Amino acid sequence: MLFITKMNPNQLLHKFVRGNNIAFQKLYDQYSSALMGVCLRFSRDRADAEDMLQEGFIKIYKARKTFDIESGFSFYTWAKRIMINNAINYCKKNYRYIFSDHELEIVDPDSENRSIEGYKSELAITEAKLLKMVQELPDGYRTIFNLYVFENLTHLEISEYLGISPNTSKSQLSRARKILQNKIEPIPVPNTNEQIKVF
Amino acid sequence: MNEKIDNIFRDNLGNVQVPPAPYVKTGLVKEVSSIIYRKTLFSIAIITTSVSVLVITSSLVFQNVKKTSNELPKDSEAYNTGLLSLDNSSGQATSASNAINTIDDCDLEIIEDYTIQELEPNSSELLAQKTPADNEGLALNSLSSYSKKVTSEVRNSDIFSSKSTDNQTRRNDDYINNKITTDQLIETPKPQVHFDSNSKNEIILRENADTNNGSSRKSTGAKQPMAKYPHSTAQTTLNSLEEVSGLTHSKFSIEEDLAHESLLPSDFRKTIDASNELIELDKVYSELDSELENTPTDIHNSNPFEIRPNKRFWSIGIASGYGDYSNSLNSSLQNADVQRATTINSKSNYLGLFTSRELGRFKFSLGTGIERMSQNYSVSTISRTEEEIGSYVDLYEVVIIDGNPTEVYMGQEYVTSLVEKEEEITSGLTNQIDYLQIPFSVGYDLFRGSRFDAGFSAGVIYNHKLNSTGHVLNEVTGVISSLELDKSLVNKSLWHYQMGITINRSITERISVRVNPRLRIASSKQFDELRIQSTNYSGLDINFGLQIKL
Repeated sequence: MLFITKMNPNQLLHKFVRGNNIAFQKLYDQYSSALMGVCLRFSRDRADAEDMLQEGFIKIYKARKTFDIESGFSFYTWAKRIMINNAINYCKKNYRYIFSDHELEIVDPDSENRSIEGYKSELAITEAKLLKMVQELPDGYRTIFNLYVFENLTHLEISEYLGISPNTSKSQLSRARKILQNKIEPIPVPNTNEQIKVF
Repeated sequence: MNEKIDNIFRDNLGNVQVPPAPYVKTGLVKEVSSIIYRKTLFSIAIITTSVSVLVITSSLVFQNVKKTSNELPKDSEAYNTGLLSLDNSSGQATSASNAINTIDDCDLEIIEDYTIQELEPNSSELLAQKTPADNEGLALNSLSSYSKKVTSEVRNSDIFSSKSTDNQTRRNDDYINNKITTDQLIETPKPQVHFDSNSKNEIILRENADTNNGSSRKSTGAKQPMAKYPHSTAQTTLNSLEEVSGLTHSKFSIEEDLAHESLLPSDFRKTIDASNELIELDKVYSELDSELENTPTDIHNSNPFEIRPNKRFWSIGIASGYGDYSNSLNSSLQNADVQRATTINSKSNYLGLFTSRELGRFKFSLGTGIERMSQNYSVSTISRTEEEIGSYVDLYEVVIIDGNPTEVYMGQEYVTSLVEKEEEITSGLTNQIDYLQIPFSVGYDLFRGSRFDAGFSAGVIYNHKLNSTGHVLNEVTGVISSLELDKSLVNKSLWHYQMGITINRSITERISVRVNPRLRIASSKQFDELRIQSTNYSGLDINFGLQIKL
């Protein structure tokens, strides 16, 4: 009918920091989908991801006074950091983390030689399938894969973050990649033999 | 190879957005509300605890201050113990702290010589009463009830067969109830009113015989009370006691062994009109008050006619209030489509209970009650509607079939012509919000009289929303919203500051009325700030209370 004005985003954040429940709900509406994506990557399934999301948002609400609006960091960046920390804690609490400290395996020469250039993964693989692949990784592999690939942490940072050695981090990442690579089976795409079919 | 795999996942899942199920939000909102609720309860608990600690600490501080100010010289055993000492030596019934005995024959043994009693007042009420016909004087009595605890050795004698050199006076404290005693402020030497039947309606305030040789009513052979109230210096016989057995004893204690203390400079006389004793007595009290207050003493001398000698007590009461407040809507959000009164007028009615703790001149008051706040303001909205004025055929497509130029397909449709109409609708918005109100205030009495106190008070008021009905303008959506349907428009918690003056008027010893006009300023928003932006409301209200001292 008649629309008067929209809330200023900065005003919304100020309300949130002061503990306004409505502002918090609006921020949830705004960022929950993106943060749900983060949770899905760290969890085994959607139910766990939703638990992580809820716990994470509660921690966001409790930690609202630590959010410095004037610092220049976006709310999403700040909330995502809390959400990742919460996801890792959730995994430690509910999953059995196994970080085997194996030596780095020699990379399979076949796989190394296998070209992926022609993979039309973006066409053949849906986000849902890729997500499922990540979720099916062992918990330790998945966490390190997430931190390395999506959060751009180095092995040293991951090792400090999780309390493991850098070699363990490298080993776990290598295994994760190998598993994921095996799940992406190359198939010939019409007109070119280098294309793969993925499922 | 590794880079490629990483990129595949990074590119596809890096910014993936998946809406969570609706129940996640529901659970989250419930959890956050629970956190807020717990936090509120915790805050209330902290405030309550702080107030309790404050009250207890203040109580102890005041108690110590009072003990210090009332500390007596060390040359008397009674002073050392801070208890009352009654001296009935030489057969002189000098005690106005009359033990009332329920024994019918009144054959009681009175304590003599430094008898120490521990006294605790239960209640007291001052009254005047004429003595029987054979004694035309006026007795000032109190319907007092005290707990007595004798703590020292005594020497017994029969008070009723004791003789006095002053045959013209008689003792009024003639029967004992085992719970008599004396004024609670017995630690402080204080004068008493002496009743002299022979002087016909005179109240005589006497000094201690040892220090006031000029006293016209000095009794011989015995230490005199500084003053007596009522009379108790004379010889008393059993018969005469029986005649006045309807009288109760005085509430004021006699203070013997205060020979070294001079409390009153001279006799105090006041003739009382026997036909109108109570009115006259009020005047006497006032004069005595000023007399005593102006008397320099080594020891702090309390007003002996203070109806409530104990300055620390609890009260409970019922209070009602009426308030008129206003607040302004945020005019920056007004646009051409919505115009409304910028001021919301609120009127409130309050009914509740309160308890207060009086510590000297300080009063701490905590209450709870229901407040109903009614608001009204007008809103004009421009309603735009479309009205049909006719229709026409709109040809939107012409298709010529290849090979058959004569066959043409024409796509057409009927289109209705509409005209937009604007209409201004003015709505009077009213709403009613019920709150559970918890007021807390600290007051200080600037003036304290025997029947009239006045001071100022300040504190906080917490309102918790119970119910809301009516309508408000939702400024974000621009529509008039029902408070029943969207309860979140009104915030559950509402805090205020309050400050004002408090006036107390005693009706009886225990019952008083209180009037408290005050300024009340809300410190938080009444409405959800994201949808209804307004200033904090403020205004004046007035509270009336009926208070009963415990």
